[in-house]
Amino acid sequence: MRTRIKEYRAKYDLTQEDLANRVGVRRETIVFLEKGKYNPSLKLAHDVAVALNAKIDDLFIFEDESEGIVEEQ
Amino acid sequence: MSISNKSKYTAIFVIGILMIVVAYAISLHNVDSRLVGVIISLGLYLAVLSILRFLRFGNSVETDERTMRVSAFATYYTFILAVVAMGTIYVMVYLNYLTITVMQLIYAVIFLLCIPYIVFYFYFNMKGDVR
Repeated sequence: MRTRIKEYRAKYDLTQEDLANRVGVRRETIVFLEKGKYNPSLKLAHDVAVALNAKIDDLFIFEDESEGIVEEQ
Repeated sequence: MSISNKSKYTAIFVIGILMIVVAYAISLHNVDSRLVGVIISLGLYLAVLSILRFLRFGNSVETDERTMRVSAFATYYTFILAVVAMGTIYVMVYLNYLTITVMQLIYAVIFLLCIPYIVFYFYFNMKGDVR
């Protein structure tokens, strides 16, 4: 997984500390999120997306995207 | 009702100091000096810990989902390790390869529960996640 949190953070001129305070987590958690080393819960992903005025899909990118296994009828 | 870090650590610091004062007061009344020593040590530990944690965290968040997850897994691995170690000690004592006193066993248990937790927590925290 990789993230675009750093890009969006720079866009809104936020430090890691600012974003951490807005979301209610430690600064280290934001660091690990940006590096893609931590898989957040859905709630945390949502809170980060809201804080950065973005969608979860825009922020968190899973690189082994495969086609859906459920076929449309 | 949320309490600010400053209020929380101030309260812990005051409790620590009070414990030291109470220990000094009871030491004047012919009480076992070991008890006085234990109370003073605990009070000092609380006072110093509150100062250090406030200096480290200030008013920012102390725990979040990541640190709680790391703590939970560190506790889990520590428990597994302690059970294996205690089982090994039991077998060694049963086979008379080892003779230990109850106090030595208690020290071993405290060591097995504290040190591995700190190591596992540090390792998972540095790694970022538990997987």
